[in-house]
Amino acid sequence: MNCKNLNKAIVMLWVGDSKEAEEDAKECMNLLKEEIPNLRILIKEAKIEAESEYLLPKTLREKGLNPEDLLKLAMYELSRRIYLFSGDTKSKERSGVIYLWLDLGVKKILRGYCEDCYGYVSTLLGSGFVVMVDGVIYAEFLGTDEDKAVESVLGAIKGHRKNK
Amino acid sequence: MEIKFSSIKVPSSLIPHEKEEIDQTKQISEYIYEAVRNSDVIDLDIDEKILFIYSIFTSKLVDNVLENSYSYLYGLKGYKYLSGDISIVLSETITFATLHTLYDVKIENILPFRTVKYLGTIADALIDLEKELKLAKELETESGLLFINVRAAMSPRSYYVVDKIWKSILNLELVRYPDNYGLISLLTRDKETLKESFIFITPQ
Repeated sequence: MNCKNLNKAIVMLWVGDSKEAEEDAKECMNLLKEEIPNLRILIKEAKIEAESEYLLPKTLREKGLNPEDLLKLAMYELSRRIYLFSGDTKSKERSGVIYLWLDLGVKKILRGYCEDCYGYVSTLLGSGFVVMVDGVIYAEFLGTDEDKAVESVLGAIKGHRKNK
Repeated sequence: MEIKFSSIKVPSSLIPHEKEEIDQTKQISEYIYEAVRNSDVIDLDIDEKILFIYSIFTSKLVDNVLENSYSYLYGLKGYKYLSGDISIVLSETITFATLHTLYDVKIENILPFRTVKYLGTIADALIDLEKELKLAKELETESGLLFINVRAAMSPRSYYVVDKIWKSILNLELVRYPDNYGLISLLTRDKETLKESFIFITPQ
């Protein structure tokens, strides 16, 4: 499958690293852009030709559009959306963890991504909790500051890092 | 949080694709609905904290999925309208949380496409089965693509659910047919709990 970094781009957007997401999305668009106009034409033709909705899958295949082709169009469109709407970069980095700090007053949220983390961590902290799945981190706190929050998240995921 | 879970498998040969066949997709959706309603249910315990993580893949800018899920779970509707945006985000989140809990599906192997569904030729999400052994094993294969269609039906009216299954089949078949795999992930309310039903479509 093409565009293997598209999933990563989506994760990076979630942690506010728009620059990284844009680069991955741009790469995917460039990879696919030449094929896209022809795919769109073929799909349009198939939609006109199919007499009924239930016959469209077969009509698409008869036109030579296989699932991988339809996937290419979807990946192109998705990367275009990522590229266009990614917004400003708001992430920070500490000890190999890219994170976004959201201060909602009464509640603080940390979203993060850690390249060398693996597995699953789910634990309660003094004034909140942290959960990590396959390197993606989410934590919530009541009344703590950013520095202490990042410290406690780093502590919680320590046993699940490849580069200790 | 504890939810109910059930799954069934539907061979794709039941679904009409050829001119010579009569379009019975709607009738098949009714059979599927009955099968889902009568299939065995297990209790599934999902760590509610992971719902926050899977908000990565939801199609709408809605947070607080956990709080919203409990309004549904406890039936705290009161005089208010149910929100379609919330129920679909809830269904998306619980779909991926279930795939993680039951089949260890990794975040890096999920691609969400609901935000580009207007193309009319793609499902809501994709998982490459070659990278997800446990899920592949459930489907008795080693390779292939699994296209996922996510649905939520918080109203108990049966025709409403059947309609959603029907539209999901039509949507999935566009990309699944003939050799790949499909999954309709349907979130419904079942008395005081949420019920997640997986309807797998297997090539045959």
